[in-house]
This record gives sequence, C-alpha cells and structure tokens, in this order.
Amino acid sequence: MRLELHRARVKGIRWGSATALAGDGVLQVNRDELLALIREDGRFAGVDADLASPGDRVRIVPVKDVVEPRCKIEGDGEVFPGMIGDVETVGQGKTFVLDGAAVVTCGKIVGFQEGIIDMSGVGAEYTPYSVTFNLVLIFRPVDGIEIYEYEQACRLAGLKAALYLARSAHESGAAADRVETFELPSVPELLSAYPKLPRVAYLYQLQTQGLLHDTYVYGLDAKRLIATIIHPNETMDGAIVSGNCVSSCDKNSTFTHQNNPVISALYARHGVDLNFVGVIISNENVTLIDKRRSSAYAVKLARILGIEGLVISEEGFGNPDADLIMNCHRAEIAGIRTVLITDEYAGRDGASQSLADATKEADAVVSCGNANMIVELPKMDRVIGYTDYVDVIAGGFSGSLRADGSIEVELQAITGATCELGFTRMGAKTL
Amino acid sequence: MIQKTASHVICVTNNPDWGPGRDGFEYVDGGPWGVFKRARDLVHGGWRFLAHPLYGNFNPMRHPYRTLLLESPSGGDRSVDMESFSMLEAALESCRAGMAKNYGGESGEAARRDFAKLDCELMRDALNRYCLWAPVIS
Repeated sequence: MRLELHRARVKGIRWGSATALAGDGVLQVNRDELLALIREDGRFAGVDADLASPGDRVRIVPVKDVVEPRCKIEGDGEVFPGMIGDVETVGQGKTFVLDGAAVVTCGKIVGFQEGIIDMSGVGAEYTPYSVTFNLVLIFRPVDGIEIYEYEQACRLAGLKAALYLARSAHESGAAADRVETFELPSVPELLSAYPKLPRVAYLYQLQTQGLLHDTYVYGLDAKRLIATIIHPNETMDGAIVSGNCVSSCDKNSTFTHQNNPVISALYARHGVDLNFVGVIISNENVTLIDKRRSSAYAVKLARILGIEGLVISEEGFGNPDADLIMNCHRAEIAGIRTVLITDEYAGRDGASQSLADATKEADAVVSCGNANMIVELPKMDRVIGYTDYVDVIAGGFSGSLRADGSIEVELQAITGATCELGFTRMGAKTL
Repeated sequence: MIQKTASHVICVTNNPDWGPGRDGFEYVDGGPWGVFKRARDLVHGGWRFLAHPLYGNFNPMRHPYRTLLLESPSGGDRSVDMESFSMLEAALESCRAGMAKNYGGESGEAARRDFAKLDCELMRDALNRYCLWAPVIS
C-alpha cells in the first residue's frame, strides 16, 4: 500500500466568511457554517466554538480529544472510516493534511473531568497541543442523555469538524507545501526485501476497558477484536479513533493515532537498520482471560510473520501494564526481543514502583515521563471550557485549583504530557 | 459466555449501584481500601482474580468505588495463586500511594453518581461473562 500525505502548513487561525487556507497560511473558519454542521446532531443542547493559538494566555479544559484535520483527495474511502463514513479500506492514495491545525473537543461528560491544554507558560511545554492552532468545540448535552450517547456525539463532532476543515480548505484551492510518501509492500515482498536486516513489527495496544476508556478500529469497538494486523498507512487515515477520555497525560488522542511516532520511526529506519514488517493491534480488556487471549494471539501473529523484534506500546496505566508485561514475557519466551514504551506513576519524587506489573524479560523500556510529577500552572487570561472539577480530576487533588486561577497538579492532568506513543515535546536522543 | 456457574464466582464491591441482595455479590462498607482488604483475605485463601483489580485509568483511591471479581479455588486446593497475589499487592501499593497524596477527597454528589456508574460500566461485561447478571444502569 502506498499513501501520500499532502501537508499544507497552517501558520495561524481566525474566523472568516469562508472556510479556507489563506495565502498567508492562516486557516480561516466560517464559524456559523461549522456550528451548523455540528448542531445537526440533536444530542447537543448547545455547541460553541473558540480559537486558541500558540503563545496565547489561554487554558483549555476539560479536553476530551484532539483530532488533526485530514481528508482523502485520492484513493478509496474517507478518513475516519466506520465513524463518519463507510468502512472501505483506507491507507492508499492521497490524503490532504492541515499540518499545524487541530480540532480540540471540550466539555463535561461526567461529574469529574480532566485534560488541560495551556497555550503558554509552563504547562504549554508539556502538551504537544500548545504548538498547534486549535479550533475548540465546547459541548453541552441535552437533558437526560445517556453517557454513552453523549460521549459518542462529542467524539463524532470532533471528527466531523476535522474533516470539514480539511475538505473546505482543500476545495478552496489550498496546496500542499510538502508531500510525504509511505509505502510498504506485501508481506512476502517484505520478508525477502532485506534478508540481512532484523524483521521488526509494532504491537500497538489499544485502550479498551469500557465507557470513557474505549478505542475504535474502522468504527468497531476494539474490545471486541482479537489481535489482528493493520497496515501502518491505515492509521494515518484515521482507521483508529480514540474514545478514551480518562487519564489525559497518557491518553492516545485521535491526533496521535493519526501521527503515531512509532510508526514514523519504523518507516524511517525501514531498509536502513531494520525491516519493518507491519503493525499488530491488540486490546487492553478488563478480564484476565481476554488479556491472555489477546497476548497469545498477538505473539502468535508475530511468530507467523517471522518477527525477530517487537516494539510494544501501551495506553493507560494499572490494568494495561498487565497487558504490556504479558506481551513482553510471551514474546521473549518465543524468542522475539522486545522494547516497551510506557510512562511511569512513580510518586512525586520518582522513587516509587513505576508500573503495576513487571517481568525480568522487560530489560529494554522507554519511559515517556513520570505522570505523578507536580507542575504549577499559572493563571491564564482566558479559560475555554470549565474549571469546576480541577480538584477531582486525575492528577488533581484537594486544593489544586487556587483562588487566583493558578493550578497545582500532577502531570497526569495535562493532555498528552506523557503520551506512551512518544508523541511529546520533551524527549531524549542517543547521539 | 464462559461456562461457569455463579456459585464459583464472587463479586466484592462497595458500589451501591449494583443494587441490594444480588446473588454472588458481597458488599463491603467503606472505600476502595476495604474492598481490596476483603479481596486480600480471599486471595490468601486461594481465590484468584478473574478481572484485573486496577481496571480504569484512575488511582484506586481517586475512585470511591471498586468492584472485584474472583473465582473460588478448585478441588480443595487452597494454595495462593501468585498472579492474583502479585496483582493484589500492586493494587494495595497504588492505594497507599493515593492515600499519601490525599486522593479520594470529597468530590460532590454529581461526581459520586458518575463514579458509581462508571465503575458498573467498566465491570459490566466482565460480570456478564461470568454469569453474574449486570444490568445496564442509566
């Protein structure tokens, strides 16, 4: 499969009379047209929209998801298959990307909320969404709506808005600044392509514990999946969508599923020092029998493909740690070397046990940060959303929200701060 | 559906949303620490977890409700299941960390209701699989 990402750089965002990417790179959005589209869903009593740019003294909270605007311009299907379109296989042809823009969905779903994006100050350094030009949707549900229904309405609204922005900009004549090509041939070709390089695959664990902890693949609730193979290009076209709203620091947003850096890195090294054979997706269910089934099946697929090295990422902490460690142990016993990607809950001083599970085979682990670390977020000039529940959010504690508007929280409260795909602003490289 | 009778399975919970008098349920007064302590007694008696005790992306002390699903030892073998023991100890360690950080403070009635519902939703599938009927709670 071959996919071209046609990236048009967004250098600003503003309201305007028509949705288009202006010649100066500013994304202009027709607010009324956008809101009319989102309000077609009768599950909202109210929808508002706001804009936030890098450097603004703005706080967005509580954030549910972040989505990158994309649309298909050539090839089968449409982005976010099974969610807002048909289920035709994606990942081939050409996809237009508003590079540097994001749709952020925001609003109360339950009585405890989380997810902070600060566009400036200390907090901005920890979230990857402080450097994107954000269109923020703020939702209010109709009375009496069931939580599942409302969560779905919020999720779909973000996807619709992202498609609307990209489609409108492309139809207005926006041209790409840069084209990236991603191509992996069939498995038999891959296996014979680089006989001297180690065959490496990516085991991509998806959060699937239940309400507010879900992920969708082609619209299917991933907790019902048995481990399977997905082409890496499919992820770039939104085949994987987040329905996970809990633990914002290590939530894999839809944006990160579209821009998974593990996949980018494996592509970059394909044919150089490894042979990137493919991606296996598995889930993180609650029952132990599901965990054993998923793990056994995923490792079996890796063995069938003749994989020698497996990069494994998780989403979340506690329960998902068991999946991560089980996958590592089973793969290593099968003779497949593993590298794990996780974050840590090691206490505020970093001295406590980091993960809820361990195995001696886990001897190559990448940490994306300690979610318990305390940060002090200064008062912002403007808040988009609601701060009502900052004291009880994951990462908050009694007294987190101060009278002056500043917030003292653990990193856990900041959207994407310790993303376990490595999609963060902070990191380290071996030179 | 997994072919097990409910008599081999117990659900230890402090969540009132499951409703009173359910077969196979054992209600514990108090917070999540009390639920884990009861589970510890069972695990030390040879019971094993059927679902991970650290479900949900919360420190357990941040979530006021906890529902744990365990299976009785088979054939009179009361030896401790080490996988369950290990999961339990990790859960207790998380609780201790949460208590030290003053998690679990008063969150208000709206949040309490939603926490109770979320707890049921995260465990509903698991309970249904093991024939402990779990209603959809709206």
